[in-house]
Amino acid sequence: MVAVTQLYDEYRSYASLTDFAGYRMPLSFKGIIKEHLAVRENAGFFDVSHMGRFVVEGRQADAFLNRLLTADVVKAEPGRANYALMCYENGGVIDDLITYKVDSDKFFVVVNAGNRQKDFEWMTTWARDYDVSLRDVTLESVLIAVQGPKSADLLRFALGLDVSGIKRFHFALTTYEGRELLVGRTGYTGEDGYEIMLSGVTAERPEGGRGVWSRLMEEGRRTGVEPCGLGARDTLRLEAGLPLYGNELTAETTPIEASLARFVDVNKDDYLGKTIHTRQLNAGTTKSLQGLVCVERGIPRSHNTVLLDGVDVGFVTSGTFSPLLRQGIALAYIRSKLGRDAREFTIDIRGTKCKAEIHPPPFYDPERYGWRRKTV
Amino acid sequence: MKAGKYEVPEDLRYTKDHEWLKVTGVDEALVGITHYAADMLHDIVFVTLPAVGARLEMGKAAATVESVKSVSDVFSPASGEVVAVNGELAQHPELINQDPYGKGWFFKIKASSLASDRATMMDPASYAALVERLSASEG
Repeated sequence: MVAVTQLYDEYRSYASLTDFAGYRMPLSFKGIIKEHLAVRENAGFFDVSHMGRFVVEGRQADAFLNRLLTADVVKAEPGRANYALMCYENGGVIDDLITYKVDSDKFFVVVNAGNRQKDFEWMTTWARDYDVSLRDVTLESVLIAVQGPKSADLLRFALGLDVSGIKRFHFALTTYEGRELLVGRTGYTGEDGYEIMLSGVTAERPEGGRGVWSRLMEEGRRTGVEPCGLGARDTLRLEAGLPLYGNELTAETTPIEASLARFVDVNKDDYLGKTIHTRQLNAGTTKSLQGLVCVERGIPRSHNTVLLDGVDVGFVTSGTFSPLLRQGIALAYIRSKLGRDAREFTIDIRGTKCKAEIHPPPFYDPERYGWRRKTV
Repeated sequence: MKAGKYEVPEDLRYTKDHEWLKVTGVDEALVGITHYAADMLHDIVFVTLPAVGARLEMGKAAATVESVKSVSDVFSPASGEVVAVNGELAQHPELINQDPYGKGWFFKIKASSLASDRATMMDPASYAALVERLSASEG
């Protein structure tokens, strides 16, 4: 039995649908490329209510999360959103997630849909040592990502929200039509944008969430803003070089290997995975995640082999056609000993050899696209 | 005729894998993929075609079509030799989405036994019924 989000009945008639992580979700509305470009040039919005949402509360909420996560959420000020990895003691990744710190005794945590149960069980096990309580609020709220350079305008004109005071990787708590609303300036596209979580929306009472979606649709029709599906979400995150759990991140991979060292704070108190992460930061890793751009026609896909002078030196974890570059792009693990200094590789795409060059993500020009862009 | 929102031209024959075949001469035919197939693939961004002169076998992979999300094989509905390919598709793969039965054709085959290969294919009514069934199960 496949699940649906509280917003499903709102868009089911005009979305093409796909099954993902146990949910029937929109794959696309008007086309993956159209939606992708709308987010890069204007704005788009996504139903991401399938993602897991937990509330962590209690006197030791901050200490508890600091033990489990690679980021230092004790040091973070209230109102701060942190991207972090949750790891096993052996350093491998359980999940990547975002914490929203209301105060030292209350956090919202957003996790991957496919890991929701595993994460909750893992966190529950460790919570026994702390004065802390965990609550899964996924089925009592909706999460909508509004992404792209015109996101703030969309939220202002569609929902009457003034989000201009929220800085990147921060959030604000407010109310919307009597329901609690979290507005975080976070996302998974590389663009400026917001993720809004509206509480008090269940399968039985979805009206509040459906109202938000229909207002975004209405405003979007006027301004060229598009509803977007998981197809564009994947091409956008890959073009930005952002990892996907199950592809780049697994229990057998550490954040250091995944080139995510900037999200790992080995200077804070002990956390799960710290020993291995520290060792890898000092001594190096046997593989590392790299960006590759095809310089010949071809679209790499996950599990394609990466070759250097005919020798197998790595494998693709995610690959696609970049709608912006109109070239094949990939993230790939390259074995350090063999491929460390090389710039040019060959990707074996189902028997066809395609030349590819190293390109540190993002794949787009950061002066023209993405949240650091110089002009809007 | 139509199957839901999908076009199913009357003058073509179809495979269960959603290729179409259009007879253009005594032993020559054009091959492409159907409106339904193109729509299911979403944005088509890349195509590989057989070489002119290549020998194709009925039911065997002859071309590939890639969308943003996935790769699919295109199977030849007839046996014979490739006499032309649609070079436009290299630069404009979106033609397959825009005009699957016209400018989005894949290749032209000189078939060794066109009549008997064609006889194994579905007529428009049978193919339209297949598309109706598939659309209903997705609904």
